[in-house]
Amino acid sequence: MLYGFGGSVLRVNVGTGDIDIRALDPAFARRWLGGRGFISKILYDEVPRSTSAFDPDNLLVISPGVLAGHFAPGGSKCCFGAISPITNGLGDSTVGGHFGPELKFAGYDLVILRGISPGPSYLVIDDDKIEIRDAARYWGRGSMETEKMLKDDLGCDFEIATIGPAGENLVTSACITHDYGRQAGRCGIGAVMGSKKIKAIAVRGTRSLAVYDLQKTKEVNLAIIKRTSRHPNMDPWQKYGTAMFVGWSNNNGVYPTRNFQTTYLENHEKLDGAELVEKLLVSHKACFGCWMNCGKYSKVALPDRPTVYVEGPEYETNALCGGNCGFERIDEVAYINWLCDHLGIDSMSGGGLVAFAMECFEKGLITREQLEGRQLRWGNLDDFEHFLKMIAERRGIGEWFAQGLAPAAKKISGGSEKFAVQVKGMGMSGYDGRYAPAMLLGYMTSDIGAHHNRAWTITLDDDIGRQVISGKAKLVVYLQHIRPFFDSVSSCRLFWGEVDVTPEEYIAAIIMATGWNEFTLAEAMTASERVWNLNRAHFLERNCHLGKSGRAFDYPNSRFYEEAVPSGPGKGARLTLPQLDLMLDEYYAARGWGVNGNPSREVLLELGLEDAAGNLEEAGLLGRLSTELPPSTRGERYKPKAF
Amino acid sequence: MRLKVNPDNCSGCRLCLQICAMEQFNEVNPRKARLRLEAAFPEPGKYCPRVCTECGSCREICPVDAIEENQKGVLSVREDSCIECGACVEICPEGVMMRWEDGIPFKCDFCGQCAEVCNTSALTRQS
Repeated sequence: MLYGFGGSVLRVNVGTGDIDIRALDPAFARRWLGGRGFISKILYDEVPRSTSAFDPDNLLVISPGVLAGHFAPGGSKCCFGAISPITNGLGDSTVGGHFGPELKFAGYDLVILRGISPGPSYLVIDDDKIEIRDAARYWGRGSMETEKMLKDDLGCDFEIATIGPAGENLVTSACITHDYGRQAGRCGIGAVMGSKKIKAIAVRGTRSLAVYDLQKTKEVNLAIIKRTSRHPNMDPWQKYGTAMFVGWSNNNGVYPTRNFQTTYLENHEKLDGAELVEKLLVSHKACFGCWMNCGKYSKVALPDRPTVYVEGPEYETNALCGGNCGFERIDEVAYINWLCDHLGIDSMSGGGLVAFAMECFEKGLITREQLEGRQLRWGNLDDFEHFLKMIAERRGIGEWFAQGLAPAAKKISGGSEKFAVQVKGMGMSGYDGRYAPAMLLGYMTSDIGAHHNRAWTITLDDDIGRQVISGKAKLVVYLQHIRPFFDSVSSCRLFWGEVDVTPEEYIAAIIMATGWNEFTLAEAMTASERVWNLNRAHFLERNCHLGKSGRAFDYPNSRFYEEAVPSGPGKGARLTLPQLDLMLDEYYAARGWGVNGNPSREVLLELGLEDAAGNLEEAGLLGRLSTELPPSTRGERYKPKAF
Repeated sequence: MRLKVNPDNCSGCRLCLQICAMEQFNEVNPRKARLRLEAAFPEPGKYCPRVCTECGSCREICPVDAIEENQKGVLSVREDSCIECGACVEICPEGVMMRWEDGIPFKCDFCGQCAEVCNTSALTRQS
């Protein structure tokens, strides 16, 4: 008996209607753990290198990992993955809420969609009853509207994942929305779902999860709940969620302001968590089985606009749609949050796109004529709304932005690529790296581009010294291993980062769920390192026509090594290209990669990735070690300070 | 002991459902809980746990008097008398007389685990 997992893999060809359900291979499960791990392996093995994001042979892969659905800290997550239309490498994004647990209760650890449906459709997974249904009635509707309609039509006990109009229109920053405001946001997975003409996936699961040691699970997790409830960080997290980062981020000189021109917003108090709670809060909203309830559900009533309800704005939306676009009113940012969710645009990438366009307008690189007679002024809600709809509907120059930041900068030219804030085409998360070099290194080396959640390292910068360059790479590597662990087992990292649940306690929860003999943190970290190296190999194999050196893909736009921070606590902070190269040198060395940033045969073989080693060798992409393989970082540990 | 519901505090985490099914059935399956959660989204955006209030409607409607107070003073279904007609399930004003695959109905026995696990005081014990 396979404890801990749903037990089945569901494959659906939405083009032909073929459905295949097979048992999950236990050895595969332990090696890749689930979630992000499963998705990395499936995409590496099954998607031809010549297949691009919107081709029928791209796969939309969905996986709740081993802890999803369990009585364990944060067992709520579900990972969505595909070849990304933004990076042309592996893309994945993890969403909380209830979708992942529901898939497990229906019996599935992996759902793999292939092909393109002949017309708009949605997929219903009702335990072992699988149906592809006509979605004509939902096509064109907003994300939350679609979710409500499907719950009304199917039953409120279904969990829904849906795309909005942006996903239907293949906008590369399109997201997948679930639970009225939680998103698998990044990497454009919503656009891949749209390319398959799948408007939504509805799931209902009524089975019990098989747990190896249920009694102990109950006792241990109850004790963790009791302990962490008394933790001093619990109260602010419950009250404000991530929105409380706004003040901290500004005071630490990392808050993206007016398209990362500076790192401090003068009136940031007006966007802080306290302001959100005081002015907009309707209710606190938690994911499945979570007692931190970081979600803040808001009601926004602005003059001349419909009254709307939205989950958020949490920190990233606040930063990238707020200060980064020059907004200083929490109700306006919350409305923008709703607009992004409604249209199905990732509010992080979407905020970055509009901020870039605003700076282009400020510099005269975009004209009123190109904006259908409108303007794009910092902090102007009408301008923002009009332009976001141009993107979602691919109207005029909205078409360029629908393709992504890098393609838009190429079209606009005029030096705009210097301030198109991205790595590998992926817009940057809400922390500027000039006064936090380890954060910048995390962005530069992330497998999906400039996303914070692959390694959030600012407190590491704090610990070692904000402008110290050397000596941070190894710890970035460690953080890039612990994070895939949480994404693979589908557990929220916040209990680890904020209220001191230890990695060993997560490991214990996995053992209690699965009964795995001698499962250790070292084994889990090895699985993470395997995922990281596989994704690097995959990226290089897919993008080697643009260059054979991984290093060439690892630089941010030049604002981050040519311009100093002009104001705020980070004023004067400046990085140079040689400093970025030094960080990359140390990073590649710590990973056992060649100086060109490509994985070496030695490290791939140590991790059991013989196939990737063979593929890289055949393509002339193997990195060459200049010294012996360094000792693995797997035994090291670093825990960032809690917020 | 009874349960007090403070709906404004509920964040919809379903820990109460999870622990209830574990306590009562030794299973990880929130659908087997003896309480339920209502969610009103996208508006007004509120949750409300629904729990047994011991109002006695189930006892009154039962045609064979299979529902009676047990030793703890809590209404419960006597499995040897129940004819599985489902009348108690239909009449329950809170929707918490539960039934699993047309079997014998079951209800909350006020073990208190749901209040124990609730970190927002949406559910509390009431003596």
